[in-house]
Amino acid sequence: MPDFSSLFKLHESKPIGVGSQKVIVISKALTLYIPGLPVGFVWNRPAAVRVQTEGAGEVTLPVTDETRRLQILLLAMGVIGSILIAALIKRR
Amino acid sequence: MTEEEQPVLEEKPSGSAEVFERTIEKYLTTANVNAVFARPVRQGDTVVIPAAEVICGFGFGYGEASGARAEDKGGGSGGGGGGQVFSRPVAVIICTQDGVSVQPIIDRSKLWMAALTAVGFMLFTLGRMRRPSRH
Repeated sequence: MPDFSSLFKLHESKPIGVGSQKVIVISKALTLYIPGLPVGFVWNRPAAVRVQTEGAGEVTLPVTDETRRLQILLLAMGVIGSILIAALIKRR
Repeated sequence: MTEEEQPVLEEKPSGSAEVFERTIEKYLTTANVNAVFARPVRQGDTVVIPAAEVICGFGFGYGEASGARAEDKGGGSGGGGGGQVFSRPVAVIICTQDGVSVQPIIDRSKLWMAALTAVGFMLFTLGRMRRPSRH
């Protein structure tokens, strides 16, 4: 199976100072472009936040897309519900 | 924020092709971290960083031609293209002296659309299954 994770590239910002903390934001970008071909696609999304605190080490907080997660959940419920409805009516 | 490496194209064609390549390079800068995270907003001891998803698609076409016959030495070139950039807020990063938290942004209108699609799909299945067979 091809490793699609290598298509995504992580980009980090410079540290942003907040008191004793340093915050680094990380984005994940998928770029589909072959030089010479006149078409391309870029999907760039926030991935995580790295927080470096003096003495307390480093913590990485993921940035989740709740809207996308709930959308997929609702659409999956629609598909599963349809399959259940079809199965129940066929059984009668 | 960082100065990201810009994609370097090895070949630099001339004319309209060069214009297209330059435009493509501009589109490719949307893969930069600065396109996703906005400039931090400081309010006292609190720093807020908005984060968004950016999707970009583009396509171009061009052509050049000249007269095939010896007496017809005219020529020309032409091209066209298009692209679209979509952006959608995903989360807000709130940094205070006490710590950092990631607050998700939930787009309710998108969720309503997904819920209505799911219900519509189920009702459509119900309607089709309850319809009497023609055979």
